[in-house]
Amino acid sequence: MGAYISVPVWERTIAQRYGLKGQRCLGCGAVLFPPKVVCPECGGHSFEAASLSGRGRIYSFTVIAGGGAPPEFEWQANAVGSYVVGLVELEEGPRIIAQIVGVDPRAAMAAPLFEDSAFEDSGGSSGDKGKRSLIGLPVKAVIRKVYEQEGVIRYGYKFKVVSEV
Amino acid sequence: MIQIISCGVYVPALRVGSSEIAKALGAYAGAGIKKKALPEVDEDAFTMAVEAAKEALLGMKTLGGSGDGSLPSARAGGGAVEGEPGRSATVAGTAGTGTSLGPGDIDYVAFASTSFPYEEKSFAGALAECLGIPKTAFVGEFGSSTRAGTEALISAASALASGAFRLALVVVSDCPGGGPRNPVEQAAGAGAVAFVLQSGENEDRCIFSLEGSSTWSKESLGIRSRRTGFTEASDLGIARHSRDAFVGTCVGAVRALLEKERRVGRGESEEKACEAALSSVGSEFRGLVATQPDARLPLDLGRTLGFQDERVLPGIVASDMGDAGAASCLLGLLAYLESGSVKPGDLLLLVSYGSGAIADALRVRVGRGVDEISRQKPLRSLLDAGTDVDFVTYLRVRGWL
Repeated sequence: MGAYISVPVWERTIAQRYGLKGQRCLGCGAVLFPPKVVCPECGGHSFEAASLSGRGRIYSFTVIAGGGAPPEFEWQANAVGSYVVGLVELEEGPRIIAQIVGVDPRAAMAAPLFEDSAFEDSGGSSGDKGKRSLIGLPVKAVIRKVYEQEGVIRYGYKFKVVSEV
Repeated sequence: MIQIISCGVYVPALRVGSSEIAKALGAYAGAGIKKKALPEVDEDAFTMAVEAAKEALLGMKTLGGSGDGSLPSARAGGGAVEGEPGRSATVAGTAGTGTSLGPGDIDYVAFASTSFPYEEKSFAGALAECLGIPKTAFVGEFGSSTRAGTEALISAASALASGAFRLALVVVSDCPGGGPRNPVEQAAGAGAVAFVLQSGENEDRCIFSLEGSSTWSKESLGIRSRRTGFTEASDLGIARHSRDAFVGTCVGAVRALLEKERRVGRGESEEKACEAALSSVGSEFRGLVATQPDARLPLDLGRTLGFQDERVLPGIVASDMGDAGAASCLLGLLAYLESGSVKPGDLLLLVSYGSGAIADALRVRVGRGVDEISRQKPLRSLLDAGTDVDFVTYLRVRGWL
């Protein structure tokens, strides 16, 4: 059973899903995303709004193979087989989980995990260039279709590897 | 003068070669198309629109601080608004009234496509949320034919010319398609383009300006159509009918444009004056850019109007990305500007066609911003960066396998 998020609940989080709207703790200055009730850094609970740039780096990643996809992502697994999910460290600090688009999951898995080099952009040619680790690569947020529920297309952020930050 | 001061473009990364399709199906319907762009499984006209629009808005930011203050009623005072980076901030310390424009300054949005993800549900709120455009901005959506792109552009230009709006964003994003056995599908590509427009006189930031437009319509099914409730566009498949509808309607719009601008001389019949104008259109305009259901029809139109092929070819993008529907002629315009074959001051004739049949003809004056565009080549670099996929992958990404 996958995660079920009703449309009203979904809509309350639109600003963070579409616009990466987070918050800054007025106590310690930490930038939080998604917005929280209590600051995990200092325990404070006063915040101001803070928009995130959407730029960051891949901190870690995994590949979801077809059979392992949660039900709401089955349509995607059926179409492309497997897909990459990353832990992205945003420029402002927060680490968030999202799909990494435009990279070949097989190449991502075949590459050594820790190699400090720039990955070819999604459009890059195949071959040896693909054998580079995703970890550490600069990314930017893009809007993509995440899944459909209740007949409603749920859009949200995913990340795309860029050549420069 | 209506100026385009920033532009953004997006083409999905995947490509399907026409030879792949021809090999699998034994035939290929898209004349002159070498490969077509294929959206990823999680992309649609809306997501592509956001990507192109973000680029256009980003490009606008770099215009700031040039000290020209060309925005009609430039916002006064105020620093950067914390937590609201989309909002523009006056650049302090620069001479004059230099302003940096941001998404927060946009008050008119026109979004065009023939393939909106919903038949009923506006994408205004979604665009505003993704791009940081004020929720109070006027938003119009244009669809129902591949002419929608110029329809959006003309509407924005008119809105700015009226003085009621200050800064407009036009986003045209399209990914037409049909079913696996549908000939319309074979040529169907994808892409998005976005422009930021203002009414101003400063030439430095102007990529191109719009000097007039004309529309011409007649009752004709034209190239393709899709009835309510259907997901697949269909085409009669009569090449001659398609060509006649396309060329005939486009020539009608071009004639109307010339008629508008040339006063009929004394003792000269209107029709004769028009024919004379039409015969000189090839010398007045540097080149022709048209809607591209395939890569051949714009050349046919060019020959009819007196443009040699080499003055039409720089604006043909369908050969590398397939039929991008409502976005094709505007992507073509960008390709022409990138090609290096035009210089500031040149005139281009932009003609858009849609089933129905309707055509718009626009007079496009190349601005000084073209140098930057032809150096950066944002569209060409996207077209060159595609990843080829085979026929089976194509079917899977479309969700047919």
